[in-house]
Amino acid sequence: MKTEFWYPPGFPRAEERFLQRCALALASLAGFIIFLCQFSTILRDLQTALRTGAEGLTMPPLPALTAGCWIGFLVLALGQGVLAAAHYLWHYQGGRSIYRMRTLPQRFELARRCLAAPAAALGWCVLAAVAVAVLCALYYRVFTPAGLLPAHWLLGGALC
Amino acid sequence: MLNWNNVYKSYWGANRALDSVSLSVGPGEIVGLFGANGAGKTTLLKCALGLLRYTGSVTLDGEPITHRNIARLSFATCEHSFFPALTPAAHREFYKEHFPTFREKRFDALMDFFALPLHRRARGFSTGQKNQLEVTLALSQGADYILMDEPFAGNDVFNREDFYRLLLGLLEPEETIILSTHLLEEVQHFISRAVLLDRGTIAGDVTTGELEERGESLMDFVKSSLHYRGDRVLKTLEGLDDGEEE
Repeated sequence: MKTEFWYPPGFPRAEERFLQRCALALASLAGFIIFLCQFSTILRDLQTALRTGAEGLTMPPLPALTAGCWIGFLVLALGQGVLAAAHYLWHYQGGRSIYRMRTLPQRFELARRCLAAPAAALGWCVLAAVAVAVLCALYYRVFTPAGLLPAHWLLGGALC
Repeated sequence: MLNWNNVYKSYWGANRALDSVSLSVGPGEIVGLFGANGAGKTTLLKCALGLLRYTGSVTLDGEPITHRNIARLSFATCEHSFFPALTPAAHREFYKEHFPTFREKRFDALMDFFALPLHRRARGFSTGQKNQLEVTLALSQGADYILMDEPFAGNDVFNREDFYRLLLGLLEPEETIILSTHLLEEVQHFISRAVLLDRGTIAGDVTTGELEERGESLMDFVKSSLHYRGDRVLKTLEGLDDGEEE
């Protein structure tokens, strides 16, 4: 099925898809950078403390370091609601093509064209967030010195 | 048969746009829907299409109008229901895809008749061309009942007259037109029946055959049914003159 079937007729879908991809890339990059900043700051502090003779110190578990990473994805997810509304309002631009859409024999055509692309973007958003989470976990595991790695580093105390 | 049964519609609980309107339109009729601004013409058409909420019922051959039979109705409106960002060629594809009964030959013939550019986005059209595209799409959809709401506002008179003539030759015997317009004199030889709306009620319903038998023109029928006050201009001017003299 052509991609145009998932957008309101005549909607600038290429531009929307480009902006969605840019926003997703930015959210992913921002998420990972936020994690890196928190990770490196804490690691530096811990290493300084160890040099002064402190003992029994470990890195906070991964969830504590990724807490702020999801803000970009959250904004993007909320933006999909705005986008769905924009798709609907598109049918009021330059006329009332909403009449045409509401009188089509295909009952769900209007809903499909307004909601499909935002729903797909939401799905990509979740996938990207999972990918960033995996990347953060790998980085945490690889770059945390063995002596500073807590016992339940992946999920913290959540499952203990 | 398209039936409005005791249809009642009010906007924001205030004015009654339609007050228990009952009307039946059969196959093959060409019905002119007349009335002053705000009489309820547009509301009547939009209720049939399910574009407005109302009480009462509208049925098509006894069945309520749903997505199953909505394709049997088409709508041409002066508000324009086409997609401004699409070209007529893209509209043709869209209609072919959504309406199995789409009349492609008729679409092409009307595009030629109106000399509309096939590959230019509709948003760049003049108002007259937009009306022509709107009417072309409504007539080509393959609907049995074609509802038109002031479709020619902004078109020049020559285009309109030619179009009426073309339309009479174009329509199949079972195709029905319901045309809401103020252009009474222009359409009087084109329609087979006139329905008058006044403040949300049917004020008159007559076939042009009955009018001919009575020797009455459509304009006279409309004026008498709507209690037109021919002396109101004179009275207003006299009132103004009296005021200035004092």
